[in-house]
Amino acid sequence: MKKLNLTERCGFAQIFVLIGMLLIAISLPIATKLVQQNQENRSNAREVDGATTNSKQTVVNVANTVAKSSAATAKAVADKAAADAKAKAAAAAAAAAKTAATVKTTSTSSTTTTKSSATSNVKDTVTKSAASVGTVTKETVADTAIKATSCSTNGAIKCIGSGQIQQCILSNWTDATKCASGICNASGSGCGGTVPSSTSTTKEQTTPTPICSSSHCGSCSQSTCNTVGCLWGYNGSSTMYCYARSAAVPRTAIADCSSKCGECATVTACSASAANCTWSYSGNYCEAVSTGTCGVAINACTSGTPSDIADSIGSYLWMCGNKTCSINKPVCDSKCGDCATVAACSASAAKCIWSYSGNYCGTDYADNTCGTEMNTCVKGTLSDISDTNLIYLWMCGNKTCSVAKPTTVKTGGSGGSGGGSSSGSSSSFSVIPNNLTLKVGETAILTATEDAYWYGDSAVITVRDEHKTTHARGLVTALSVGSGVAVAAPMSANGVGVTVTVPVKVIAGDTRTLSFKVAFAGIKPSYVNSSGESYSCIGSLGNSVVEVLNRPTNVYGEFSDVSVSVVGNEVDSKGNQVFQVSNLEIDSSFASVNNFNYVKVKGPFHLKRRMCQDGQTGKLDETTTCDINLMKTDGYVYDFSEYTLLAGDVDSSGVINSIDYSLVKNAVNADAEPSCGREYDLNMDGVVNALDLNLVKDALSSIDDE
Amino acid sequence: MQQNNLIRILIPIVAVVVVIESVVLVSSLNKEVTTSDVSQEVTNEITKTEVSNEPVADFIFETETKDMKVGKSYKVDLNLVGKRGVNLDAMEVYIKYDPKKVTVSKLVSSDKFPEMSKNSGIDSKTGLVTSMFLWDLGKIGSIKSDETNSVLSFVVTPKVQGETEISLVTGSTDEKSVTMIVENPTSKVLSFLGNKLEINATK
Repeated sequence: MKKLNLTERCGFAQIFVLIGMLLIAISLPIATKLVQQNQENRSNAREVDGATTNSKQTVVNVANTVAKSSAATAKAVADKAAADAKAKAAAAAAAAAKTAATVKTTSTSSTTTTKSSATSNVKDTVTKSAASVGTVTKETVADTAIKATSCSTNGAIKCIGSGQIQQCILSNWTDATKCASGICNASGSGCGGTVPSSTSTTKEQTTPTPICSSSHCGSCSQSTCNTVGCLWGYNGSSTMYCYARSAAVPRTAIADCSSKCGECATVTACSASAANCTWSYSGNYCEAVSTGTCGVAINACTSGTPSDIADSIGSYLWMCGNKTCSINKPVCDSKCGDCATVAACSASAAKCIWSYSGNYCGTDYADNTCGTEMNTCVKGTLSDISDTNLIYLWMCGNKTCSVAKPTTVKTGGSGGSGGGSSSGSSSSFSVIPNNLTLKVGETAILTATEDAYWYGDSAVITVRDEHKTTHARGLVTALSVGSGVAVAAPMSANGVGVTVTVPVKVIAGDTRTLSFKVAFAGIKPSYVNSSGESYSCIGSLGNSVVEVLNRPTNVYGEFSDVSVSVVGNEVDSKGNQVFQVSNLEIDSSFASVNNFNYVKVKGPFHLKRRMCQDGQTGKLDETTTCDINLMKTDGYVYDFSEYTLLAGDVDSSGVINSIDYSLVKNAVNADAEPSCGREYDLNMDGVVNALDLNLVKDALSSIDDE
Repeated sequence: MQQNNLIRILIPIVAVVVVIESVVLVSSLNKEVTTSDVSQEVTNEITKTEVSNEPVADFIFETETKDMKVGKSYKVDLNLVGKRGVNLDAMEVYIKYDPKKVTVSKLVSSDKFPEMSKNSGIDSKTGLVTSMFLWDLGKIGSIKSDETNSVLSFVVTPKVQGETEISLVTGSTDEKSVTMIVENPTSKVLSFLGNKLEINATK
């Protein structure tokens, strides 16, 4: 019995254990589910709270999340977020949550919610539209037919208009990455717009802005108000506006009418004011008694002391005594300076361009032309601006003009470096050209900046003082093939301490060579430093690349590291220093070609230009017959100096673009002491400044390498 | 006895079920939380990736409608929407269109950007709109994250029926007329996204 009881008890206990375990087995999933839901609710509630303070951001965030989640998950999350927000937060939070929920649940088109991202885009459009075509009103219409047709691989980003839905499609999107909702976020950069489940859409209608008239006084400006039969005044408002005569409402007098005429609301109060006021019956407002009378011309007074005040957008304004006078600005179709706004400036038939720096409308660049002399303009209004140490600056219209300050050559003393390689303390002493290539038997002249001793005789060359009127010129004669150096030492230093060495290369007399002159944009002969000393960095100009091609045979030769030497006292028509490539040895493969050759020249930071004819001044068509004779051995020098090589290709990409502009801009250090060899010093004045930047600007995308 | 035996069999089975449920569900619970965290991490990671490597902005064409009438003019805005904040030295925008199908006119830059450089304009022969914005010395442009900047606008007038598109010109920076955004002060070309405006012209 005892054993049986024990068994029965055990059975009972086992039953309880079994029931308990079954309860656990059932409750575990339920508890887990509840915990999950609680976690999600809390998580979404945080987002919703955020939405109340920055609804737009939250919507975008939620939208982004949704875009990266499955639609089903998004829906669940959204519902919970909305529910939790309603339970926990204020009405605003709940509204925002609902907005977020809408984002998540929709898979169709546009939106009607005011906080949605898409609406903000609409708002932008509305603002713009209002400015141009008038008032834009919105109405919401049911449109159950609209489906999520956006987010295709290609297509427009946004279409806002009647019957259209907002679409957000970026060119790199594919079906795999398109947004689930098919709607843009606030910025249009991704998915996440809102669409109510009823699939309603925003429809915009435009209404033209009414023209100012007696029946549309609200559209009138101050100047036109009274002329169309309306009245300009306070009429119950705290600010003046144009209203219909019949709608006049007396304005409540306020305390400071006694000191401020504009605050007096009635004729009586106006007259009684201590501020010496008078009632303007035409304008129906109280104004200070005028002590002056306006003249008919701008800033002119018949009586009262004239004083100029800031003009308004549409009127020239000035005072005569305490009377404000105005004359409407003329329509700016014929005169840029009369355009008061950017839009008017751009729309003007007078070919105008708005100067954002000067905040005025000026004649387009193309119509402004600098004179060749300081402070002169061929076209455009002259206005002088501050000069730099080295350059005279002025404006012709909105075009900045410059010319180098006069060169005053200072002998001896310290300064920059010049042509040739110099040594010693008097580095302002220089010689041009700074290198020579001669054929056997040829003689060349070297010119120093002052009288000098000349030497350097060798088996290859002889060097002697020309000594006609000065000792500043040296003669170099090539004797035999090889290399030598010509040396100059200034007499002012008694030939001690300073020397300039010019390398000379001598080639055979029958070698086919090519010599030509070129000019580089912006590089002037010399500059003056802050101490008034003349100096030049043109000797530091790097080497060029020259290509030669015979069209019929396609025989081609490329010559890198071609040195260019300064041609003394020679500038092109723009004042740029002329350089010369002398006796460039032409490959024997050109021995039997005809004259239909062209030469391409690329400076160290210049665009490559195709030189096809002697004396060429601009780009020639590819079909133009070229006439560069490579067979000449008589030392003929072609002149390409009038087809200026544009400066600015500082990254040697073959095109001058914004990258070059940025590189030079970020290297500008206008206050630095002039020093030759500075990177990005495009005009070789030893300083990277606005002039260099302007050179890039002038050349920007005007042409790429020919 | 049979009942007792049944219970003795059921108890371990139910126990095993409870253990399995516990393991599966609790781990599933953790997984849910982890998934949520991962989701957040992924989002953050994507954001970080965009900051470091991805395009800094989107060029977006905006117009009243894609469905246009032949002979009627429509204003098209080009907006730049920042994906992250950057400073700019320069920006070149080149837009190509088919001059046989549409006329483009009235190119106007936004007030926010500097005046377009002198070589900006519309080439109706080649169908190229050139807009170059250069910030002068001491000035820089800025794009803020999620900020929509109006860059320029122009007017499109369809000439013939049919579909055509207007799009940005992109390519290598050593080519001429390539849209680019150049950063200050690094002078680096920043990547961007751009779409095209597809126009369906009808009579």
